[in-house]
Amino acid sequence: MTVLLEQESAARRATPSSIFGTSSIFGWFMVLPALSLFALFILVPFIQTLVYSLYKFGLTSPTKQFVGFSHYLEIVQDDVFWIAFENNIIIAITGIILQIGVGLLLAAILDRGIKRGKSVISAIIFMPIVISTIAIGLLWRLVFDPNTGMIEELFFNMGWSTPMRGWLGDPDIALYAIIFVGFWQYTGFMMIILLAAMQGIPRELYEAAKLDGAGPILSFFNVTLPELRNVLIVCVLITVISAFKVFDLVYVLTSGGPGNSTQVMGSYIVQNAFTIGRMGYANAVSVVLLVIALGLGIVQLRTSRRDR
Amino acid sequence: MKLIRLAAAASFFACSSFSLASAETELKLWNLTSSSDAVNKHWEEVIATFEEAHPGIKINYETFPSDAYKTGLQVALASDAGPDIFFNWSGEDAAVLARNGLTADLTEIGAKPGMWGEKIAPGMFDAFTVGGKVHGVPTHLITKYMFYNTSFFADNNLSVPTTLGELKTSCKAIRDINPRMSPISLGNAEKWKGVHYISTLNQKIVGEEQVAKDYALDGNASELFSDPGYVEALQTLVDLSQAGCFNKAPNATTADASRSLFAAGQAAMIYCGNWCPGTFDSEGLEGGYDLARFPAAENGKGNQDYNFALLEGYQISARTKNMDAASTFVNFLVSGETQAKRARDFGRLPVNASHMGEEDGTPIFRKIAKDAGSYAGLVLILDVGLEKSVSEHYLSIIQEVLNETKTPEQAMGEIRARAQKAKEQQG
Repeated sequence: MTVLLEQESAARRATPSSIFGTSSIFGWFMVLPALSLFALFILVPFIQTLVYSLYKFGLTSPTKQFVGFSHYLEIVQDDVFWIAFENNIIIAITGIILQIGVGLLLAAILDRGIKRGKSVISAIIFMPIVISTIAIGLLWRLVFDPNTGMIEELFFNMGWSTPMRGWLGDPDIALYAIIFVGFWQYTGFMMIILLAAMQGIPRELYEAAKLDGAGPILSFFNVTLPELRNVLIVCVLITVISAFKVFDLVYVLTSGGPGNSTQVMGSYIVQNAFTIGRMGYANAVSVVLLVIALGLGIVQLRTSRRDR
Repeated sequence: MKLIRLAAAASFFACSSFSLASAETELKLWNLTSSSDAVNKHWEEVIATFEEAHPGIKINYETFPSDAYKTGLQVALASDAGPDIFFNWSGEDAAVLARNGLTADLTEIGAKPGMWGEKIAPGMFDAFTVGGKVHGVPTHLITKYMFYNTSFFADNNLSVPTTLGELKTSCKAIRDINPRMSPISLGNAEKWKGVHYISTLNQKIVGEEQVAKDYALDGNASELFSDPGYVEALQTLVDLSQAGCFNKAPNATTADASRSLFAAGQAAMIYCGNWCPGTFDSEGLEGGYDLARFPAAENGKGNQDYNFALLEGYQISARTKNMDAASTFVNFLVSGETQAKRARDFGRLPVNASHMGEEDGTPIFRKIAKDAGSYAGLVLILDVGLEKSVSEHYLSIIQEVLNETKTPEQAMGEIRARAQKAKEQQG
């Protein structure tokens, strides 16, 4: 009976007359400011980007030339685009493993393993996130400098060799150097989110697990991880979106080089739009980036709902 | 009655705001940010002198870092928030704005009595001329030389290399004397230092005429950049690298760091601009350096007396509402007094040296100024003269060649393909 009533009520809620009826006017009125802002800052720019991707024009061109979907066809054959795309994927995967993995480990140690000085340690690990990414990039540039950098000096004094082309000058290493800096910056953020979630887990669950004979490791896998599931999904979503949005760190550390080996979609869009002056092509790459990010987000949300 | 009072008040405020606006013309002047106190002080004084001489004109001076400058300028000029007068490099950077109708045609204004047409040699305007119309006024020349550490060269009885062959020999000799001493300091992390080497080598090896033709994407598309000299130029850079000429990892070293290496005495030479001595002096070398032209290519087809140089100057926005005031200010920048002051304050080569005394400026500045008179021509700078999609690829590919992840042949194959595509798109 209750089920039937709920279905009926849901059906009533979904009818067009109720959506646009007088009872809903107040509701629409309330969401109007948010909808207007969404339309102004998200919807209109998106449609504009979509339309502009069909035209060829420069940043200051007085006219635009319609080229249809040719930019999208060009993207498919563009080697640099695929390098950038692959780099974004690598940054996303390593971000999940390193930032969330190490963040989780640190949160678990702080939650259950350390009794004193938790706040001080958390603050130290969290600190890099409050520094501007540009400042962090400039700082790490100095650290990685192949002639006078701190790492170079350290390795030299230890009698170890460093890459001949430099940490940021070797196409096989530069991307991982950027990933390391990202890891240094964001792990504390992940740790704080996960630590807050861990502290919300009822202590009784750990006591029950202990009574059942579970040690700290078994408790972590059987109590902590399942309880953190939703927070972990959010962390993964944040990491993946950040990985596809990354630009500033790459720009400051390598400018996409050496060659195009550390190019990411963000830097490639900026290069095309503002350096080369191919605004239409940059818009097309932006649309592709949006579709990829949207697709990944949807897949992730669907997976999380299915597992629930 | 109330309405009349309101109308009277409104007209009073309208009139007073009109009179305020007409009392002072405000001009927005955009320039590059400089970390040099001398440059910043120079601009403060120049603006103060101008405003004193022209009481009705106020200059609002704004500066931006060079990376952000080009982009910000293009966006601002297309809006109403742009500057009235702005610094720009000659070549493609200035030409693209002119082609898109964002800069004022200064041909007629410059030809009036007392204006810049009378103060600067006519040939200087070519660098800012688009479609036969002058779209900018050059104020100074920047140029590059091979600076060397005088005491290191003297102490070790080394002679300054004059050819590329001698340069390679010098590199080996320097490494033998001190393995930790870099013969040449090179910082190509931002990609433009490498392009300066290749611009110079292209001119010396390929020859200025062919280079000019290829950079302009002129002629048959299938023949663009097909001269074997382009491969040789890239190979020369690789040879220098393999001869141990450069510091460790030039592609991971910034231009600033490379200047500091030379200033700290950790590198014997550096290919640097006439703006570099200030850094050398402030970071410890204090005049312990001298300069020479870039070594000649023994079998190069180009005129070996060409030198790397670029004219820089000021353009006026096509949207300015104060053309008279803006042109008055630009004319003031090229006056003999202001030009001499510029040279004295921060060592830029003036386009109008009429008020320069023989003792003005540092000894290095005077040496550059004297040498500039003997240039057979100016080396075309690759990323200034070449279409952007091709030059951007050239910038990246120089890093790859220097890293030896691509051969010079592979690199030029890619550049040819890019150039052909760019030409096709130009129609």
